[in-house]
Amino acid sequence: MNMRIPVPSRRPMRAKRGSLETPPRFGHSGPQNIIRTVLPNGIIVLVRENFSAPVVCIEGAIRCGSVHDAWIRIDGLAMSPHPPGKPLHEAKATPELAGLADFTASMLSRGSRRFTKDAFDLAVEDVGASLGLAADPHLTNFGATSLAEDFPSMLEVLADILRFPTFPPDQVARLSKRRQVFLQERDHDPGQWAADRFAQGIYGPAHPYGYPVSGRAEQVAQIDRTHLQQFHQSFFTPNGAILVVTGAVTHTEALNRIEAMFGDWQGTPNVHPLPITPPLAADADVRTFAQGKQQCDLIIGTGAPHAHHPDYYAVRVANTILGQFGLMGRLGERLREEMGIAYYVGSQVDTGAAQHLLEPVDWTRQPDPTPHPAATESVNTEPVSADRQIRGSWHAVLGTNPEHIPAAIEAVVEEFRRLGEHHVDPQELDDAQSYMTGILPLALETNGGVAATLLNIEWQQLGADHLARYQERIYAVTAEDVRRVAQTYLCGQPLRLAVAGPAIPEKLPLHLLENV
Amino acid sequence: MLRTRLKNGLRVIVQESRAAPVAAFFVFYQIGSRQEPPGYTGAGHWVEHMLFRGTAQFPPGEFDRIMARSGAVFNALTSPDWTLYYETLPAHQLSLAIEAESDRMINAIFAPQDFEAERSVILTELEGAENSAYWLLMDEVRAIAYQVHGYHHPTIGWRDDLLQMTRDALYGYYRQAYTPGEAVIVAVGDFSAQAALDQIEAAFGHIPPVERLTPLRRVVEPPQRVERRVILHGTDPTAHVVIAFHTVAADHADFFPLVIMDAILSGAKGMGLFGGGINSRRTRLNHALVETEIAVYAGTWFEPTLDPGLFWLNAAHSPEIPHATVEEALLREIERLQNEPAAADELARAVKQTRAQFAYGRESVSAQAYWLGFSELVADSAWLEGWDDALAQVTAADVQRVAQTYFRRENRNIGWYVPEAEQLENETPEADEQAKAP
Repeated sequence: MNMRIPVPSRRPMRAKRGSLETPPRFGHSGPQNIIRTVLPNGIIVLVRENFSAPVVCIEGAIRCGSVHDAWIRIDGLAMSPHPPGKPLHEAKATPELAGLADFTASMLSRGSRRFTKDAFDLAVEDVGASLGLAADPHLTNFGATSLAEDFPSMLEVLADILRFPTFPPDQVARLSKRRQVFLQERDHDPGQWAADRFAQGIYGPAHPYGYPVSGRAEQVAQIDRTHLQQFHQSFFTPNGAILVVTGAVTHTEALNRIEAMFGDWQGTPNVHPLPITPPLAADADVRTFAQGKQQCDLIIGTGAPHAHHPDYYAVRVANTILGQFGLMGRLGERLREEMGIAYYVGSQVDTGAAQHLLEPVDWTRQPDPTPHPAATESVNTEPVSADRQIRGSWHAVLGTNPEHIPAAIEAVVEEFRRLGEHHVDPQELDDAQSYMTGILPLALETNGGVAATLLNIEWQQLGADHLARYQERIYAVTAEDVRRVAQTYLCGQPLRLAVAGPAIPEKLPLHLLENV
Repeated sequence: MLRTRLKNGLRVIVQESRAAPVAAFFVFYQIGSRQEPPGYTGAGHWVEHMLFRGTAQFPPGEFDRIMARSGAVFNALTSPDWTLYYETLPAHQLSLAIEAESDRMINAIFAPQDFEAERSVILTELEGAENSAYWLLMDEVRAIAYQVHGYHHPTIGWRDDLLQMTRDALYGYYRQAYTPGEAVIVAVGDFSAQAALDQIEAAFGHIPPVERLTPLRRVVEPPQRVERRVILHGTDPTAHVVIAFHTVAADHADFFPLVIMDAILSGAKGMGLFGGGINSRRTRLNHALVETEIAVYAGTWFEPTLDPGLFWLNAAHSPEIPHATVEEALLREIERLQNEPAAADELARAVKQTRAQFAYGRESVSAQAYWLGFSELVADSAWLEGWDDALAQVTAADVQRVAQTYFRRENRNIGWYVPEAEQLENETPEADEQAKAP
């Protein structure tokens, strides 16, 4: 929340979620400048020197997240999330303590063995650094940016708060209240409500992708200090943790300091248990706000493959054509440029973890960065919903006046069908591929961009050659691939709709969700 | 760095930056919503949309297509003070951006059907913003703070003006506003500065200067004589208090002490488009409002403007806390700064944080281009080059002086956002007046 004067722009500036795009070049330095080391306790360290500015950026992750919310019981005991050989399980309801992983992450900067909240603030703020933590479904992410001279002290702070948090009772109570207020506010945002309900519709309410990482106010209200302690004790482990350092520090110095701070931390790897997803069903969630809202937010889409699925790159290219390229692809051209009914409209693919990322891997024994074999599988044309393990969604999002909702739904579904029934023009395909590969140097311009990219490649086990092969994979996608994946996913599966806002018409063309 | 002014009045700044194979091309027009006359609010923003609707050389859709193909990130923004078009792209594609921007400086078509489609798009954009009670409250407070000056109206425009606008009026606005003399071009990136400058001169040098039919007048907001208040009711569940004080423009000597005051109250900000947040819990508002559980969030915001701008305070209430309590807590922190100088370590922290933010925020070529262009608009290059020194010279006495000078009762504008379910009994501004008259 800040006080900037709103600056309208021609293109809506919304953050994208879940993008796994990864670029091919690291500025002028080249990937050879990146050194990967696995410490004896399983921490994976990647260091990239860059002395162009006196700044160091640290990005990292512990392999625990909201997938583990369900495994701490309300009485404070930890259940075993390790059913042997069964990372998938049946579950029907949202965990009682949904939001626990993210609450835990937020508490780490509020008291640890050596850094009370005040000491933490002093250590970070007096040197003009930034240090933050947040959870996602699989990872507790952390990041710090500081002047190079303050890199050692930032590592010291990070090591202490990640390993030895104290969860002071007064801070727990205070943060709980704040989080509840923010979550109530969030629930009153039509766009947020539509996004939450759409995710729940695709994955089911028990699934960590199907409920917000932050949890809801009523669940957060139940989380107490014991739960936070138990979560930390159960799931914070160095085994498989990732630490990326980019900036004005040498490989040797960075590695030595990390070993000194984290080397004696020990732990076993986590399994990442996911509930089996419910069958996809053509259905709609509608919420009408009686007053105070002017615009409706709408999401319509279906299940999609994860980043290791053979269809993945074809889906990404198809999505670029559908709702990303230029001014939001074909959807932008149709609903904004031609019909003039939406300021923001587009499509996106959100992807979750492939099966091999759910299994516990002992990184003290597997230091090799070879990509997981799943990354090179070639033939599988089954829709993702067939085995009830949906790991992604492919959807259109837009905001419009309530009177335009029926027309908007019809236009979106028609664009889905057009992509699934007709081959894309060669020029349009080439444009999309050129964009997807051409834009990548920009993502690697800054230390933060490089660090985030390396972290993602490491977590997804995409392999050290991933960037080099990215271009080849994008250009390998054919017009028939694009048509086929659009037909398989957008046309061949039931669609889910979520819409929220004022005065939503009673009659919506819901029969279109059944699909062709 | 090369810096020049072409014969047609166009200002050009070119800077090599060899860290990564990318380039930023930024075109600023010194035209913002503050200059829009009554009845024509939102014209600048609408023109900005129309410049993506095609020229003869780049028919509709073609600009988007060639930019996206080249791997560019591109967009445009309209603010009260300026309008900005930018492309950040692989360095070897820079000439594309130069060619396309020179073309649409004068050749945009404004086809009637596109004009109508954009009317509908912009109304949708407005409705999206109006979904937020907080956005509406900001709008209301800005509107009571400025009664004469163009900062009074929202950049997107008043709804009725958007409904009444004609294609010819908008086209006329474009032809008067989009001239070389009103523009500043900045290119930063992995290229030869001289070669880039030559290319820019070749593409833009032939565009003739335009004399305004009606010269723009710099409107001066009269001094505020009385505290102004507004109460907004709505259904969003969290109550807010917003307070805005009239201060100074970016080129005023008191600008930098106000930046430091902002940092002391709620932490250093990025300033401008490319700032990121840093940790800011060791700040006065956090201690006084958040740690005490009066508010779940409390902050300040002060940004550089061409004409005297506002210094904002705001807070989102903790449940059950009355507006008067939150307002008093915010104003008490202003009074503290007025009554006693900031401690030396607090001042030093604010200065270091602000300088660090400025350094982090200039890492990318886009951020460098933004700052070079922006400083040229608000003041001159010396303003940017002198930034670090100006901050370092701010004393505790300076901060105390600006707190006393600008943060007076009659100079403030206060907005309350009251969720519908909340009772207003015993909580009117009049009741508060009696409770906390200084």
